[in-house]
Formats: sequence, structure tokens, C-alpha cells
Amino acid sequence: MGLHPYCLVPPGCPPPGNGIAGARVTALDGPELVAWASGHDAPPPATPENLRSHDRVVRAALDAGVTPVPFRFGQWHADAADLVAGIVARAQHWQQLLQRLAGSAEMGVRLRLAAAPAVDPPPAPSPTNGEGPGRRYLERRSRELHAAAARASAHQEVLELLAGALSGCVLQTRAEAVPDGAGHLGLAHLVHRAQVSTYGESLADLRRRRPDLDLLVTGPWPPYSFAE
Amino acid sequence: VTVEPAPPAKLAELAPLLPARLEATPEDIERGLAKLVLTVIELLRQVLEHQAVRRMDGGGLSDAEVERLGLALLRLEEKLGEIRGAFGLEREDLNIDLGPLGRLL
Repeated sequence: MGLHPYCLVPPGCPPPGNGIAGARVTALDGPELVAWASGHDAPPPATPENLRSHDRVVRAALDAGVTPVPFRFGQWHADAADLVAGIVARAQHWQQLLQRLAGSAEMGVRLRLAAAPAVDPPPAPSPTNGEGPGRRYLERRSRELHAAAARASAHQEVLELLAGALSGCVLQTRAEAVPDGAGHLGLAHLVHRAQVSTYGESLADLRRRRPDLDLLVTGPWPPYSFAE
Repeated sequence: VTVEPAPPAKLAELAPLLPARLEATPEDIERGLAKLVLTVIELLRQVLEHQAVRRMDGGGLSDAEVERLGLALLRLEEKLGEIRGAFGLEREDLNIDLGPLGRLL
């Protein structure tokens, strides 16, 4: 029977009862940290139900007032010795990460620009020869690259605005364009849990000042985006 | 021709740009290697394409050069798509984090 790991927590934090498919979650002692894992005959498939169960176990630590180092779903170890050996091999890294994340939680922001950013138009096509497939290809790519540059510039402006609005309550930020073709920007903020309400109020204030920004805020989450 | 090995510092800069994992099981080794090689080619293709667009927009290419370059890049993109398909890879599989430049795709 192999092991599906959920997260690392400091010693002394008891695991919740059950995890994926009702399997009992056990605590495996490592060097100054503990891994929560459950035993299964085969790696659990990434079904919505299993993903929710994984998150529920990780979240149990957060609910108990402990910030875990969450593992992404999909890791698998042959047995307890294999899991512990993997942790011991990077023990210092995990201990530092537990310390760095202690007392924090992740907040998510999905941001959409209400209006498409203005695009600097590419130069007009040559009137002498605009018909070939090669030119059409390059001109299409030129338009796409100009639009992408305008979007990146608009995102940068909003990122700076958010950084200013949230200064003092965000410990770390990760930003990534969401590949949905709609120009969304996904942000993960590491926030001290005592500051979560201040964080929400700051964003609400920003919404009032900038109604053109479409902000969807989620959290608090276990710090999945900051665990590597 | 003498090829000097890259200094460790340069290799360290390059390493994070490449896929974090190479699938190295006997069944997946070809696909894993194809992913690695195609990612590097895609990176180079995009660099060439940006350069071509920049030169076209700047008026630095004749009509014949624009057509020839565009056609070459178009065919390269089509060919890469065929090779990706042969290995069961999607375009998103070739995505890598370019640090401050963002992601490749």
C-alpha cells in the first residue's frame, strides 16, 4: 500500500480523521516536522471529489490555527520510509518553509480589466504587396504582439496600484496571466492571518476608487502557491 | 571550431528556463525528450518571430523579405504543430517560466 501525502505541519498538530476515499490520515514524524498522509492501493485519481478531500485535510490544519506546507495533489510514495526519506533529503528547506509560512494564509485575486487596453496600432501594411500568406502571417502576429504588449502594460499598471493599496498587509505576491483568452490576471497574496480583514477592507476601498477594475477575491486558502 | 563549455553560472541561469521534470520512464522517455527539445525550438522560434515582426514594423524589410520570412515562420509553426501532435503534446505542454519576462506561451 502506498501513501498519498497532504501537507507538512509542525510537531504537535493532530491530523483530522479521514482523507481521500475515507482513508485514515496518519502523522509521520520527520525532522522537526510532521507529514500527513493516507494509505491507498494505488495513486488516487484527480477527481473533483478527491481534490476536495485533499484540500479539506490541508485546510484542517489552517482551521486549527497552524499554517501547513501543502503538497500539490498527485504526489505518491511507495511506503512510509520512502515518504520520510524524501522529506529528510530536503529537511532544511521544509523547516524554513514552515517557518516562513507560519501565521499566514493565501488570498486569491482574479482580476479582469473592464475595458480592453488601448493598443498601439502596428504600422499600416504595405500597399504594394499585402496579399502573400507570409506577409499576412507576420501582420497577424504583429497585431497579436501589440495587443499582448498593451495587455501586459495594463496589467503592470494594475499590479502597481494593488501593491500600493495592499502595502503593509501582503507578505509576498505571485502574479500570472490566466490563459483564458480574456485577459484575466491571477494573483496569489501571502497574507498574515491577523491582516486578512485589513486586506479585504483595502481591496474594498480600491474597488470604490476604481470601479473599472473587476476584482474577484477568494480565500483564505492554505498557501498552495507559496509552497515551493 | 572550438566550443567552450558554458560556465556553471550560465548553466544555472539556463536551468530554471527548462521544464522542471523530464519523464524518464522507458515508456515516456521519447515524449519527455521531445518535450524538452520542442520547448527549446519554440523559444527560438518566438525570438525569431519577434525579431521579424520588429523589423517589418520598423520598415527594415523589403516586401519580398517580409513574404519570405513570414512564410518560413508560418511553415515552421505548422511543422512544430505536426511534431507536437506526433508525440501527443499540446502547445501548453511547452510552456516554461521565463522569470521576469513571464511565461513562454
